[in-house]
Amino acid sequence: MKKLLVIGSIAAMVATSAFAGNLRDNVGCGLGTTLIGDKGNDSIVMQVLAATTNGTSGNQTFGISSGTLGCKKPSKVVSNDKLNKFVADNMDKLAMDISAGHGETLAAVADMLKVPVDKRAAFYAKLKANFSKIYASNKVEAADVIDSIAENI
Amino acid sequence: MGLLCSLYSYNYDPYWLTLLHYKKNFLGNYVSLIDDKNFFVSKNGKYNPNEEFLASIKLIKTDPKKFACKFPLRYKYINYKYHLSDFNLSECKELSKYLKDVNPEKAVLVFADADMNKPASMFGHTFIRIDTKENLPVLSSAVNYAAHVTDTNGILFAFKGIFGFYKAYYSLMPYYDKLKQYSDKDNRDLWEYGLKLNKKQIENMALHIWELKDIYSDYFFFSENCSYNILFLIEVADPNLHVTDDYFLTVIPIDTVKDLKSKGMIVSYNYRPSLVTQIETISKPVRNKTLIVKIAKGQIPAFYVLTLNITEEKKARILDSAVRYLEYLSKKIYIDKNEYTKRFISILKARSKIKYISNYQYKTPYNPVNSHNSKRISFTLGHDDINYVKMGLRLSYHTLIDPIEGYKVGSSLAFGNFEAIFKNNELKVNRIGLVEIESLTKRDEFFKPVSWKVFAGFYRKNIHNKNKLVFEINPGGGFTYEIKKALVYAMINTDINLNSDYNKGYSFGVGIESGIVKYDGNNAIIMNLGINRYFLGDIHTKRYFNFNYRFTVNVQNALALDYKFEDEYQINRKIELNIFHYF
Repeated sequence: MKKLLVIGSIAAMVATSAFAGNLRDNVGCGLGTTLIGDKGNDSIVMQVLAATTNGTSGNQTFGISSGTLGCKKPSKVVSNDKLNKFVADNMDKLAMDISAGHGETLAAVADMLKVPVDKRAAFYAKLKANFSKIYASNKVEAADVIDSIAENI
Repeated sequence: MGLLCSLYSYNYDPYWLTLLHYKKNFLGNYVSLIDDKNFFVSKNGKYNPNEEFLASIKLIKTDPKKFACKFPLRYKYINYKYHLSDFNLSECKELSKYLKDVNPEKAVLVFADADMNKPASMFGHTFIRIDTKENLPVLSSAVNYAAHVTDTNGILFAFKGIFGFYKAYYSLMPYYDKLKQYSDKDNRDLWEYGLKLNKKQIENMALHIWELKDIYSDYFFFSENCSYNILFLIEVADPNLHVTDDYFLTVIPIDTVKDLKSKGMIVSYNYRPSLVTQIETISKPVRNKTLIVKIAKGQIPAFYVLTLNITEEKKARILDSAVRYLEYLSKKIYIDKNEYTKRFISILKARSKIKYISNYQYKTPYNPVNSHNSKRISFTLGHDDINYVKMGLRLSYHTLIDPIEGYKVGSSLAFGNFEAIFKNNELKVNRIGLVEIESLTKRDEFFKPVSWKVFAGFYRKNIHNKNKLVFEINPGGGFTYEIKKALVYAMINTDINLNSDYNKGYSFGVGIESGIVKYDGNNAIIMNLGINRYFLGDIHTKRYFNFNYRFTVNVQNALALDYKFEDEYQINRKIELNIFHYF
């Protein structure tokens, strides 16, 4: 009985923290980091009154290169904080662009990796063809994606 | 101090006033709109431009590094005039890093359009994007002015926002974060207006943004709001430009864009569709939209699409819509992250196997910068049992009958809707519309918004045999569908009317209403009919039918013909011809 209680309470704690983690998990190194976080109050009363401010409840940030959020670094690419942060912050969009063979986020990554403009079409096609290898797991992280992409240059 | 005063003085140089955001108050004195004392080097700097100027000069002479690294643009300006120090801005470590990161080359004023189901967002929002020479917007920086809000109580939120009880800050973040917020989460289309500023001017703008780092100001929704404060950044960049004086009492975001355009400051525009617009556009040629929904919900595996006997493009569209719809869903309902990423990857894996390369073209809608202006005057000739005339003034903003170009179909937002009537040789107030909001947003396979409306104000009505001004609150909710390019809706209304001439002084009722809204080129037709049963207070029933036809002469002028039928206490039929002018 005691064992059950202990297991039960641990499970409950893990479940709540996982739940809380998912709800608040809008920073991270993998996919799905734009999931619902601070949804805010969407009620109609709030909306009618929300015309009065364009408020943000988030922390006031002033800075555009605040590091790479503690994510692991790529091993096959020369250290490039800007690239690492960009990919970590745009994992979902990058994956969408690679699968479709075209997109702004993908173009930015190609630019940061200094892929020559005349070689980009082939680069994109290669990445698209290797999509399943680059995103072999849904838990893939920014560093893995960058390393995989670098192999295709 | 006397000698110092005679040697140096800002001499009412408008640029010094712009740099420190000084404006003349109603007493004619210059007061800075910035409230944070850290923005000034002198004790009374907020209220005294000359004292601030002298104190700045003193500090440049005694500690140039301290002054220059905190206020680099002021330093540049004063030093250009008087050459007091040889200190070079490149010696400011943090400032130099910031400039290297931002790498300013061009600037764009971004206008966030309304979210269809949130008419409150119709006023829009503006912020600035600073582009690097790479010309890749996702690598640009965005500068935004916003109130720091922690309240969740709506009324407190509104009160504090209107009366300046929130602190607001300028913040800097990657443009892609703004896209995640406005485009993907808030479902707002973005309009990116290129500004006529050269590289040197934009560098100065970047320096001024640095000066505003962590500096707060009291936020006033109507006047010193997001759009107004962004204008300072543009005015600082171009000393010949004067835009912050163009507003009196209220600032509506799109008006700031229109004003800049009239001064020749807008050189280009680009339309960026929101996530919702992307889903609607990409899926348009696909007939089986339910398939897209099911794939996004994980009910049908994505690779099923690869087996279908349709074109590669259609397959691509299904999967491109599905992954975006999945992203949309994740912001509305809770999806476990592991489940989300599994579905996400499975859709994209299937997509990667389709040879078609996505490069969807989005038809650019009518540019909001060319929309009808925010204030409206109206003149009406009417006839019911006798002839009458009405004159109206509406302070803001847009209703269903107004020319639709540049506005979202089905969204209506009006504040300060006043009307006077001259009938029977008497001039009376006919209407004081305080708040009139309506959102008729269509439901389809993807999006199932609730349509709603709220009207509150004073309206002239017939009560038994009298004609009185009644205080009314009229909220309603329902559904809207698009049928043959017309919006068709049905709503349930609650109607609360207060006036001493009602039996018991009030009348409370519930009703149903149905209507059609159709836009076709320069024409619009709006029809509705309804029945309200007032079962508390003054007990009675009201039936009504309205037919409105509007013709747009040009974007700032329109004509409307109305027929109104009402059966409340007695039958009343009106026919009206309206002239609208927007300014």
